[in-house]
Amino acid sequence: MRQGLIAREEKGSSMSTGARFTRALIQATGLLLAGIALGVLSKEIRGLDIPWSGGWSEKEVVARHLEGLEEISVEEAWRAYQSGQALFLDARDPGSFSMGHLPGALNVPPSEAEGASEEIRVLVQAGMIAIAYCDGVDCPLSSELARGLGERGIEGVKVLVNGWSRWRERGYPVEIAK
Amino acid sequence: MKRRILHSRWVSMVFRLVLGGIFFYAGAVKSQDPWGFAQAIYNYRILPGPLINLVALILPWVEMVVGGALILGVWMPGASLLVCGLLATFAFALFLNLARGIDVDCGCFSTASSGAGNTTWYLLRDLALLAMGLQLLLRYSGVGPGDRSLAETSHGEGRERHCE
Repeated sequence: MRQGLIAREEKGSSMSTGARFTRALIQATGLLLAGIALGVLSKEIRGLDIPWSGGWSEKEVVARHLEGLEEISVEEAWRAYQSGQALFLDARDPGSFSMGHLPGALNVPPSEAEGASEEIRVLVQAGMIAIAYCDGVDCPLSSELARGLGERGIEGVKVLVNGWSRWRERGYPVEIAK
Repeated sequence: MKRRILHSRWVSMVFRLVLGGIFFYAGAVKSQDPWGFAQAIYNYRILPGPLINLVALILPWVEMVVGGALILGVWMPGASLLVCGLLATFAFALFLNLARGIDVDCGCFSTASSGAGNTTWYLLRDLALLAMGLQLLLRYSGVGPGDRSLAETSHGEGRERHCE
């Protein structure tokens, strides 16, 4: 057995660099094909609901993000702000938040929903309308935040899709952190 | 010294178990949530829409196969070449997004340090794994400066132990 192994190693050592690379390439292709075959089999056997292609147009992505959540238009958000009822929740990272945010917004990235939930709960119970936003049509952070707050018992958090950009496009006021 | 590390049997064993374990585990986790993984791929903003699901369904299994091969020590030249190819591709994708200012956690453009910080950390971690993969590639395939490495090294190590 040991002699066989040594013979194989010696045979390997006598191969040229080109032959060694070809061997590695053939094996890598074999492993790749095995992975592809298992992937195809797994999808068919498990009957996964994900199609082989599609589902990533902007419209489909937004619809998936908003599943089970309530969207608010920028006009409605503006009216809520004017009536003093808007509680804006900025789901972006703190650096982006510090460079500018909607008036009076709290910076609550989805990972911090737990820590901020008590403060938000009190404000919502006092009659404020919680409006989560981030930047980009297909940005998932605002819907992740709304969902995270929902899981902590704060229902009715609305999502302002592409909120930061759309709010600025309208020329509405923004705040910059000092 | 450098050559001994490059061709050390023990270093190779640790590297292949670490890389194999990481790839197998990562593939197994991703294969359980193809929609979630597809979203993660979408966040990189590199692949065209029609290819996202295809990659999300196949890549986890390729990772598991290559991880399994590394753990078992089967087809090591091919497994180390494939693992290096995958890690180099991931590093390129991370570098591209770092340069474009995209936070790969959410696919958002980030002006902030925190998003870029995550991407930088992912890139450094990926490059460290790539270094392990390259060590395996040199040792097991003998491509590059480590020509004739496997037989020479294993025999050489045996001689060293005998002399001691």
